[in-house]
Amino acid sequence: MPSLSFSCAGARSARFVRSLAACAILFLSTAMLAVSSGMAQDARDGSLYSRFGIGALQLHAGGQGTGIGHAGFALHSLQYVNPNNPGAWADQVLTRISAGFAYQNLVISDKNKETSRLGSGHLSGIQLGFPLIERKLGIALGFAPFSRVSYNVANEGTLFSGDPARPDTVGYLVNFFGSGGIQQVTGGLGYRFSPGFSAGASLNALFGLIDNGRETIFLEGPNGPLFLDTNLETSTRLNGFSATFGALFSVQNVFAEEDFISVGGAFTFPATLSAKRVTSLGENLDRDTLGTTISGKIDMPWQLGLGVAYYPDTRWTLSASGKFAPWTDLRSTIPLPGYDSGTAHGLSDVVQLGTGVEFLPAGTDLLASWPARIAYRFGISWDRAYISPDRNMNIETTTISAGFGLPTLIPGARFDINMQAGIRGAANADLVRDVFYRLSMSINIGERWFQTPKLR
Amino acid sequence: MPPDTLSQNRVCVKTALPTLLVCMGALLVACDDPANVGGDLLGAAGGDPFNAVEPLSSLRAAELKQPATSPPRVLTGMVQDPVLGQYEVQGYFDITAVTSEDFRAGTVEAVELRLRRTYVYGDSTSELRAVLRDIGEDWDLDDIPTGTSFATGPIITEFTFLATDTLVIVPLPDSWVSEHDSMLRDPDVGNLFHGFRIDPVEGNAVVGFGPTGSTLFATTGADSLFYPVGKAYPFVERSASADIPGNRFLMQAGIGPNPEFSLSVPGDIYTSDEPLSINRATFTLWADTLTFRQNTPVHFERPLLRTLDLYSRFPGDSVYALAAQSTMDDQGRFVFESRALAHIIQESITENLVFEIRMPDSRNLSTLLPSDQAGYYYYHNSLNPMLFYDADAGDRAPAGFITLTPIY
Repeated sequence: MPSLSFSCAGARSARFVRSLAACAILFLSTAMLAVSSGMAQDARDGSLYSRFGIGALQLHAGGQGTGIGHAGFALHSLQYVNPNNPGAWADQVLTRISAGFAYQNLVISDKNKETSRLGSGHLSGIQLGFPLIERKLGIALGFAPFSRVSYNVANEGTLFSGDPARPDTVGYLVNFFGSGGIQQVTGGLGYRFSPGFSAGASLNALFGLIDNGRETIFLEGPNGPLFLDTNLETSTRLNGFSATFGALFSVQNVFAEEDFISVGGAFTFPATLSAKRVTSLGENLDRDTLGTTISGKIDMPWQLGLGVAYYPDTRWTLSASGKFAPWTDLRSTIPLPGYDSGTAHGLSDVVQLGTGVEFLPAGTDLLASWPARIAYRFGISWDRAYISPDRNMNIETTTISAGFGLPTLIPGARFDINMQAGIRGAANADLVRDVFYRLSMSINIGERWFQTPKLR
Repeated sequence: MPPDTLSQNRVCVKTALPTLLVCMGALLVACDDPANVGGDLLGAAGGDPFNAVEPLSSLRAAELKQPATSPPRVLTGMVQDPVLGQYEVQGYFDITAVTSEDFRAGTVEAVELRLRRTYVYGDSTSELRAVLRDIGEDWDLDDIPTGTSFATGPIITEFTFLATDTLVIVPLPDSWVSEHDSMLRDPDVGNLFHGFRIDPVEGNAVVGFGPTGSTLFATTGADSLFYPVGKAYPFVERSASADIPGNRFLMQAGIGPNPEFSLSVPGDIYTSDEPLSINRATFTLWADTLTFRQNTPVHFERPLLRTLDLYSRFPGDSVYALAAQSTMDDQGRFVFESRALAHIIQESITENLVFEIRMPDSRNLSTLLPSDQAGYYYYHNSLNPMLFYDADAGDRAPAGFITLTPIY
């Protein structure tokens, strides 16, 4: 089982850590504001596949899990709060805050080998965890995107005037765009029932705003402007709750002395999101609301994640995880792009598999050189999306990831950098291929809080 | 940690970390280039506009009202138009009060009308004979309907001039001068004196005087004054003509009427369940310039209404709003189109909208007309006509071309 000891940090170091912690809290507040409905509306630079359903589901595995292929259900670390399994929250020593940001470069190509390049950044997640009883009872709070809608694509056309006396033509663009998504705030407890078994539960609040728009823009010549552009936008506000239960089993000395293996799983119950949709029509920002607000609900399926992690010694971590969610059971009473009401046409059950390895040359030696205390990570993952614009073809994503967990001069704090490259979909007649390069960075700070010093 | 190890670590942090970040940043640099990639995925997502041709209703006659702000041009004369018939125009006009101490101290010795001609409709070689009368009552221009007349006194004088004369001087008789001496020298002359009316007696042209350069000139022994023309109103009478072809609607300045029409078609696309967004609206009205061209004798001038405004009225509202403006093109069409017109139709898409064609505001018209029309830009005190093809005129009937986008 991993253990961690800390050298005596000086007063300056402690003050610095507190400052960093304060900054992290500020970051958390700002980030929550930033991803809240209003400010996230202009991000339209992601995958076109995010248009469909409730958006593209997001994988959040924290700084460590991201680098090893999102294989995080069985990860067991005192240095990271595992966002995937509440069962791992029992094992906490320090109060820990982590926040991550990701930047993605996306290249979309179609069957004609036409490409578009888009760059975007977004918050990847925030975690706060602290022990109520050290390594016995821990609590964790988290914030992460659950789904993300971010796309912008245009179709071109030509319109003949229809006036036989003036047979002129005008070009136009029909621009489809979307932004927003569903955010998830998680809070829960983890409890260690025995040295080898811990379990936990969390309550997940889901909320968000999804904007889908369509603009018909006329490309007028010097005689314009005579055309009014049509700007149709639907804003769907969603909210609901779900719950997750997780467990983590650990066994030491399995194949060798000092090794241990852990098996973990998390089950998330089905959730029903209530939805309210407003449709507005107009020119630019001057839009009129069309009709009344439409209310409905979206039933999302349960999700089961299982994983195994093997620690041969204090330097190596080998992890593999899988996740399944029967998204063919998705039902929505309000129209969603790509979704045929009441049917499973175009829907698929979500499967996500990932595996990876982490190597920390120094192990638990805090006096080793800086390069030796870097955690080197590599992973690969594959997943199948829950919805596809092509009824006969699933949207699959394969991602390889590599990263570093950089030690800082402050014990207990790490700076994680992960790079991912992946391919989503295929450039055939009905789909496009996304090739994405993603850089994610997270800061992870730990310090003893809420605990009375034994000596005064 | 030994000091040398700590130092090495710091060097590593300071050099390796920024280098790593810069390298990865360079790899990830991207420019937003949202090209048309992936549009096929959307399927039938809508948004494509289409055109609809909407016939407009028959042109109806709307009353022409004399705007109070029109420039004071005095219109008078009589003319036999080969197409439109006989016109007789009586020109009412008033003067603007001016005074001076020297003028008030003296006695008015002579008065004459100095009329600068700026407009002619009819035979430009014609000689015109007219008589001058006093107006016998107070009168105002506030939205008076065409056909309004005012009481006048006996003939003051009779005068003759050519339609080509640019300045016509009409001396007033001594009896009129001595009778109006005290009135003309009174500072309140603007209220005491109600103006003149010029009645045509003979000729084949209607002429316009002013608005600039036309004055009542009065002299005393010590001083002289120019009273500029203050307001003017033409009383036009037209005898019907049998020469106007069928399916035509005559719009004419000075006498009216204005054409009015509706945009409403039974069972049209607007009343369907499918909501639509209006992107563009164009109303085309064809002018019958051929009839005019073929019936214009030598030396006969017939300036036309070449620039017109389109006003709209919302259902249940009596206030009209300017929707578009059009100048006749070289094919003889008035094409009214503007974003404002599209807005208006969008806002009342299922209603029976009423539109009226009017002469433009004189203050704006001078900047809209070509330079060769500059002399005729006071439409409201003119006889300028326009002959429109009406609803049964086949492919020249008034029509609306609407560009729409289905919302869903």
